[in-house]
Amino acid sequence: MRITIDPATRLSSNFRVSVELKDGSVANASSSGMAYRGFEQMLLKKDPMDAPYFTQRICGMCSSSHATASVNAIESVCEATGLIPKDALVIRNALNGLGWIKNHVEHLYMGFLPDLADPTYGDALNSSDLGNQLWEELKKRYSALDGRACAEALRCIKLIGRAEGILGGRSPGSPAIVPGGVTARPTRDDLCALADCAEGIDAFLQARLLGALPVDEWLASTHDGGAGDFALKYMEGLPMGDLSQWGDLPLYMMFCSRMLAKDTLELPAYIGLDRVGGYPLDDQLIGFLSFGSFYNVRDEAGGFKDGYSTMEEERAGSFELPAGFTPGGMRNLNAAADRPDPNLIVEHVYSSFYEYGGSMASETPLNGETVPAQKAGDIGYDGARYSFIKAPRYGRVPCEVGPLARLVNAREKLVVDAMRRLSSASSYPLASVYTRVLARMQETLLLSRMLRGWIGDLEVVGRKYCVPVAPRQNRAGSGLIEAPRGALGHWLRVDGGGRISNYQVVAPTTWNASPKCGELKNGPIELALLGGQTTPSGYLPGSEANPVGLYHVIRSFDPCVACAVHYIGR
Amino acid sequence: MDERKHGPLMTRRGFLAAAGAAGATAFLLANAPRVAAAINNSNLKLVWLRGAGCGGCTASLLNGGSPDVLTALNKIRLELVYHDGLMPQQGVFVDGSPAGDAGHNSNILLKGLADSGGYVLVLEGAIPDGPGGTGKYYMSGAVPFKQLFTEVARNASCIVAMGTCASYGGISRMGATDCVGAAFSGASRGGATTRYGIDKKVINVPGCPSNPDWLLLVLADVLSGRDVAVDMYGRPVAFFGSLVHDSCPRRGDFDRAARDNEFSEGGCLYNLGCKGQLAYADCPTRRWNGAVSMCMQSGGPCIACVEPGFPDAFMPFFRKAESRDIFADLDVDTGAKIIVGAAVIGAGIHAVKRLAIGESGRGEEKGGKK
Repeated sequence: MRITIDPATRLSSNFRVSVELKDGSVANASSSGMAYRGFEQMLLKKDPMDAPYFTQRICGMCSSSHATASVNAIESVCEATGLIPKDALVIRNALNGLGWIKNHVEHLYMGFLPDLADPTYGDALNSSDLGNQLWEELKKRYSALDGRACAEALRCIKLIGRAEGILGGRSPGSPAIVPGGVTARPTRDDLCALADCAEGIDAFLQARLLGALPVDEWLASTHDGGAGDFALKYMEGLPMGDLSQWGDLPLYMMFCSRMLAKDTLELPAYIGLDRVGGYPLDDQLIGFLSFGSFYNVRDEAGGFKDGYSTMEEERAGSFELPAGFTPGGMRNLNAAADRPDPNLIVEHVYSSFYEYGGSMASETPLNGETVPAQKAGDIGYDGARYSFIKAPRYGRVPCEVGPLARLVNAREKLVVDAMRRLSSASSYPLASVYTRVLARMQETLLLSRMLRGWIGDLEVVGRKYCVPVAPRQNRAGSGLIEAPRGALGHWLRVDGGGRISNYQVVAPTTWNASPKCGELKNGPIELALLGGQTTPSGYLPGSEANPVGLYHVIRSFDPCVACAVHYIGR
Repeated sequence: MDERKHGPLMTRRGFLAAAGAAGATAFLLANAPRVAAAINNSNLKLVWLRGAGCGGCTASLLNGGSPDVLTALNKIRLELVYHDGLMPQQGVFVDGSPAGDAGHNSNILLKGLADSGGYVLVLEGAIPDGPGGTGKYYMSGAVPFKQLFTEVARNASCIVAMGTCASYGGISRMGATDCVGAAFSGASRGGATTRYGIDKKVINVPGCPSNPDWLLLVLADVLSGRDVAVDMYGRPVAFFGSLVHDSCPRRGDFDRAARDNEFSEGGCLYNLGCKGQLAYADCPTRRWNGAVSMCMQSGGPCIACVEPGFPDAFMPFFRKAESRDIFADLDVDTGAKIIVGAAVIGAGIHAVKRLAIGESGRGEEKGGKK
């Protein structure tokens, strides 16, 4: 039986997934981005200074991330990364942080969680009182756009937009982030209004995700120290007879884990998201990659410093969230993650509707020459080529990027602890829908704390927000950062006339939703779908027409095709 | 329509709550009873299609505005039934055939809607025709997007193009995908309705992104059955009738020739490429994200994102509007309509004014601080 989801909705843009079911399980899977926007020629011969405003329009959700990657690439071409004023870097951090929180809140409450209110679970959970109570709670909270959580999330998103507006004039599409710094010159009043927004965002996140416990107390006990034991004790203290008192995070952490709810506590109601969307523990088939994000503006003595160093310069502590690579076997979660080498990133077009000049099947981004399929007959689903998304690989390894990859590479306590517990029980994958979404929730809380910190850092402003920069001729540069959905790279080459001669973007979803590469290795979403079933409890009659088990896997990656298909090539 | 397990995507109340969280205006509050009275017996649906774009206009809708619109819109009967970013349904095929019903399957839902008509269509993003007239550069539900648009547009009561991509092609039109807007291709009337022979009025609500207030107010106008007055580019004159420059918060700096040559100095952004003299929108008075700010207020030069020639006609973004570079890479049609027309009204007047106040070119280059 072949199930095709096209379009997969409640994502940033259209996405297509097709799977072949054998004996009720997914035997092969293909993911397709079916849009091509032809950015290839748009920036050629243009002024490099135009690139940030231009490329931030690749994505209306993470426009600040694209702008930041772009200015980093340009500032590296200007040899100006060490000059950017600290307060400009902090404002960029705040704009990016706000964008991340907005992305995560929107994705959780309008994308991922509404699937838990799918009528499938009304049927699956009705065999116990606890199950009925859980279903009522899920429906009340998460029903697409009619749920209480969705309405509250909209108010939070609006508050985030307001904060972005205070710093950046408007959102999305803010003009604030420019090569050399930022355009804004916030006043004390602006900072007060901003702090007020941040408090409101934090209050929302606490009320929704945690309930009675303040965000900072949760993070002190699960992120800074303690970890899983505290989370388990916290959940034990919540009333099983009144689920309405459970925040979304503990509710998810408890009832979406079969291992925790059924195996450990023998509860009669659960949704087994910890059994789906995993990978084989194989270093060659999958890895976890992150580029590092948020400029660290503290010097060694704890004071502030101007400028930043790029990921390539290999300076530890350049970013508040570290860059890292962890092979898929995840054998040594006790040791630190590897430092990623950007030179190992290549892109394949074996399964994509592109031709490279010559016979090269894979190229580093800055050398890639992208020619899209010109004939309609070449664009279809059934041949060897089936996507407008290319297939980036780290060395030869497909990589998951995003909150889970970031927190794995940071060896974040709550997430790594959950993985360790799952690994001690057999038959549970380490990475799964469960850990992927848990990581997104935990990261959202972490960002709220970081945001408040940045606004505090702006309190002692030096009142310098931009320095003049000029791109040098015949140079190449890159900006490798993290966007909310994962590793984002902009590569840029400037010709002898000071114009753009090549510009390449590899976006997070390019990694996660990539098709098969030249070695026929699946992309991460495809790999995570293999062995999956139409519901987390297996095949149920009729579920092929509403395969919620597959939706969970797809949405847990938060794919954005608008980003993924926008290559800007030679 | 089939009995749907999920119910409508958003009930009228749900939409109003969403819209209320997104944007508000005194105008709507004042006019709500009239709007409500005019449409009391109608049962209009809202179908939102997303073509080639970035999703930024949806993000903008969710992002901005003041809460008071909730009160105003609460009286309007409107039901958002299709939006691929927000709806519970998805397109599902089993062995190649559409599976389930409209309660679960977005493709079946959309087909049913297109057949029955009686909805307002909001288009976000542009419509690609390539390669070779097939439209296969953007596929959804196994068909080219241009086909979906054509089917849904044919039976729409009204079409609203949200954002510059949907209005004029915008940034999407710069690629080699043969993208156009709903009714326009750049400044010419060669959009999708012309290409595919659809006889429908399109109201353009441009901007990159568009302001949620503009959309919500246009919808209220449409619902009340009023004829929305538009300019030569299909934009409501109520929002796009005056130059950004005229009400710019830094206008005083311009008039005093206090013009910055570096970012973040706090003065007029003209020397840094501000195109506020070429762009028609009420951004300075309406402002953005709950009326907290707008581009120039935070030191960003206007890039004329509401204009039919955006973005290429206004690049380089940081080059002065009056410099000759602005004419490079422009076709004659666009150049004549946008640059000359706007320049005569805007920049031209200021050129005269500069002469009148005796400001020299050198003085302008020096810039000045407040």
